[in-house]
Amino acid sequence: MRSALANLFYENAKLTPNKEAIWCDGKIVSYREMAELVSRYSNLLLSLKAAHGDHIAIPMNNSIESVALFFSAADLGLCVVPLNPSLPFDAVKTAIVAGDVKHIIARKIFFSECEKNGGISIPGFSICLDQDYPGTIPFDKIKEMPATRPELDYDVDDNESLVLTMTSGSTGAPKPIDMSQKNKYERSMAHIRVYNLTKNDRILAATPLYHSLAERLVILPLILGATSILLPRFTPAIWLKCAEEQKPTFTIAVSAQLAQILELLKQPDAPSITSFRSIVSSSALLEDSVKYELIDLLKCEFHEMYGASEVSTVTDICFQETPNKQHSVGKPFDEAKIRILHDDDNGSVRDCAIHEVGEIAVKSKLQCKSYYKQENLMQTAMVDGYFRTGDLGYLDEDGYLYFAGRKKEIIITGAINVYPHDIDVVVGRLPEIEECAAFSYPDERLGEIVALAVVPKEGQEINLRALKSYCARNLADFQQPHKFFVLNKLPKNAMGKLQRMAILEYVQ
Amino acid sequence: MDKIRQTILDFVEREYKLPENVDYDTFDFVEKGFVDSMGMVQFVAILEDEFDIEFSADELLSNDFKTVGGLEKLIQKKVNKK
Repeated sequence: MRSALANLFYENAKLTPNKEAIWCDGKIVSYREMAELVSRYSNLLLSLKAAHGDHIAIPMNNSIESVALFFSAADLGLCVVPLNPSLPFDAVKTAIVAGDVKHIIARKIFFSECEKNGGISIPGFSICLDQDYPGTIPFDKIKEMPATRPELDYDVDDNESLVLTMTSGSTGAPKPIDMSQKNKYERSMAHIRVYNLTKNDRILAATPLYHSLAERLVILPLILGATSILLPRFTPAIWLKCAEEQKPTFTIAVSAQLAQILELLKQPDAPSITSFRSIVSSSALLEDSVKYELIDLLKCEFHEMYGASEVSTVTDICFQETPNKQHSVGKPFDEAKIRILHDDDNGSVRDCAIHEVGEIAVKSKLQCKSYYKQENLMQTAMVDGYFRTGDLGYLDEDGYLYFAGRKKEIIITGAINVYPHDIDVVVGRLPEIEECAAFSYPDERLGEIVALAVVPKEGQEINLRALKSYCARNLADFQQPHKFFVLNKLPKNAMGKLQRMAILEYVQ
Repeated sequence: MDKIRQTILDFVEREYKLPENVDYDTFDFVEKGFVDSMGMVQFVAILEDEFDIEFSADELLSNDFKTVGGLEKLIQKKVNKK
């Protein structure tokens, strides 16, 4: 038995070999060329003795080769562990251990950074993508590989892990979200159905490929026989230029991006973008004004969705179709059911009444397998088969979901989840700091930014510049505090527990 | 390669290599998305720490901060002044 994802892709390559499969950074690759690239990649990995079920880490950028790796891994029954290329060395090491990584594919800069920091030990091979680097296999070897799909002497099962997405940052135990081939297939199929996607669609992915949203947006078109448009890097100007030239018909964008795009679209010399049939906003609620102006300027169906990496998209709403539910994030996909839960003081859990705010819990056929090797953590998050999202919301009498905030202490900056505890642990290592807490600070551009409150030890002073440098070198780019506050204490409750959500009010 | 240029390139090319034969004096790595607003916070702190300098708000907003060549000259000027 071969992978269903890979089978669908290869079938499309057979049916429409000359059709444009993917565009990225000015390069167009046809289905025939993409199938050859995927096959060559598979043959390269097999020639290096990649074994069924092996985990391969890759500091992943948005490129055609990265997309090919997903399909090659699916075909061979391997698991990809995409890493954010800005992760500092310690975080890379932690992720490699947590993800049981056997092989690494990376650029020279990654290997040289690792070497400077004492090296990373992995049992398998290392491939260097851009140049020769001692101890690694040059990616150029792919050119010597056969361009035909390799035969396998084993079966690839749909329940095998295909992608481990790291959800936590630089310290502690990351929670790798374990997604099977079946997860990726069913998530794609659900989106194809809900958004009426066809082979004629040109589907734009404009977020990093090391997150599940962009993974879905590149896998989906290639198993559908449509065209994938992969933005190499996001700036609103690059997005607009791509939209003008590549004429995408569908995208799921993150709300922080859409707000920035609107700013540019309102300029007098902005191009007219008319190709979109529908746009979906995800990650955080869009402000009404942004939503209405975008609808007016892009003249397409406008959707908003609610979801989480663990359970994929849960709800969707099309604003033109439901004008009376403008502040809702929609009704559940067929695959999902929602409950709104309230924890009573006696430790029991009950369902909330209509319009009563509680924690959003989701039961979905699209749910990930688990947290890799941390099934107990997944179990802790489940109630009667429903995954507790950590988000707050309520349902109305028609079953529409409304988002009402977050229960989890999490900062979402430019659609990236930042776990403040990860930052606390790294900064807390500094000898002059008594205690510290990262927290969410509102920002017009990114929605939220990371802020950091620090309390110095008695008699000690905080050198802000040194603190910024320390953060720059020990945290990933998305974890960088943009604002610093030196306090004499942090807000805590009567039990002495940090009230992270209260820090913003406290510093103001 | 000069240490200043190498430090700049190590950061700017962390995710993507700059195009072949790029003109370092005119290629705007911010406009082209090589360093985004989140990366910029980290980039500034690393440069300030590495060369023991401090950028003013005006310098951070200047065109010099958008090209490898401009930034290299700006850093060199500040290092020479120390």
